[in-house]
Amino acid sequence: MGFDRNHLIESLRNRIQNEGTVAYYLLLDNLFRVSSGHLGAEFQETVESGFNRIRLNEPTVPAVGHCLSGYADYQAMGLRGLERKWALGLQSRAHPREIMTEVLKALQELNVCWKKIGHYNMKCRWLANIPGLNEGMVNNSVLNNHYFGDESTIIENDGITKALNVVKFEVQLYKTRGEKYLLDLQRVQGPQFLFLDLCAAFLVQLRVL
Amino acid sequence: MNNQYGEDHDEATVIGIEVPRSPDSSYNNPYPGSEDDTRDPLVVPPHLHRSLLSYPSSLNASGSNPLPENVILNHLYIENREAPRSVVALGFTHRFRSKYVTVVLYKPVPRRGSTST
Repeated sequence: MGFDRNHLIESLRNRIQNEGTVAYYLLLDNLFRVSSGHLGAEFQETVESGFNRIRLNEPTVPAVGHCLSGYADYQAMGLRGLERKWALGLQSRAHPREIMTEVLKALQELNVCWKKIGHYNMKCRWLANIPGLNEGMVNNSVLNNHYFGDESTIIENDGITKALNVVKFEVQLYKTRGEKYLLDLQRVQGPQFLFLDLCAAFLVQLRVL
Repeated sequence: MNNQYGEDHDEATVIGIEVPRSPDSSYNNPYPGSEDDTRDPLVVPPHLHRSLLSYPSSLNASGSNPLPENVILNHLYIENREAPRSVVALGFTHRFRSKYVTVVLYKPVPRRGSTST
């Protein structure tokens, strides 16, 4: 493009804004179609059946204007290359009450229990059925361990009782920009991977994935 | 100690003063009633968007990450990917004693039939 290569590399390294570095980032944006803005991409509304109204964030193809604002954010954050973006929770354009109903139905289908602790704010509890966990720890010959057990597996440890297979988390619906709503999930207690696995199952149940 | 399923050191505990668990029966699965319609949900706090996961890894030459803000701990983040996606990545940062651990789970996305119910 007519820019001196060494000078350009030096400018990029020192994060100097000149025609060369601007052109570089514009080309980079176009090449990778990275979402604009580090606060999360706008999601794409796909044309699907009406049930699927909750969406995950997906990158959009930036127009020229977006490229420039994307570059500005790169400047601000000093990004050098392509970075995957992570978005908080799930977003939807549906009515808040509809969202909550869909969310709670999905949770119910996953055997998650909840109670209301605030506006659009539920505390949820899930008992994971881990094969082999219950055996030998709690004598529950009465219970059928092949299905969801009624008892959580509890161990005593220095007098502090911990349930090994209970995941507790909070669900909160927020309003976000552009008439959209954001569902936030926060772990309160429980094994990390069980929580994430439950979240994945929740996304499938919601038909977001 | 040595509970491989993870003692939770997120919450400060004082021996002898543990908050009792609320009874399981309190989780009674209420669906929102008409009285819940009055207010709009709260606006999302902007600092919640500042997950460590979005922090560019190439940026820091010293090799260490910045400390996460307390507010983002244990909140679920989902990786942006172009549709249709075959893998979903879910992650969150939590505190273990004086350290911060970010956990990411990559899971394949189950395929659906082209006709949805």
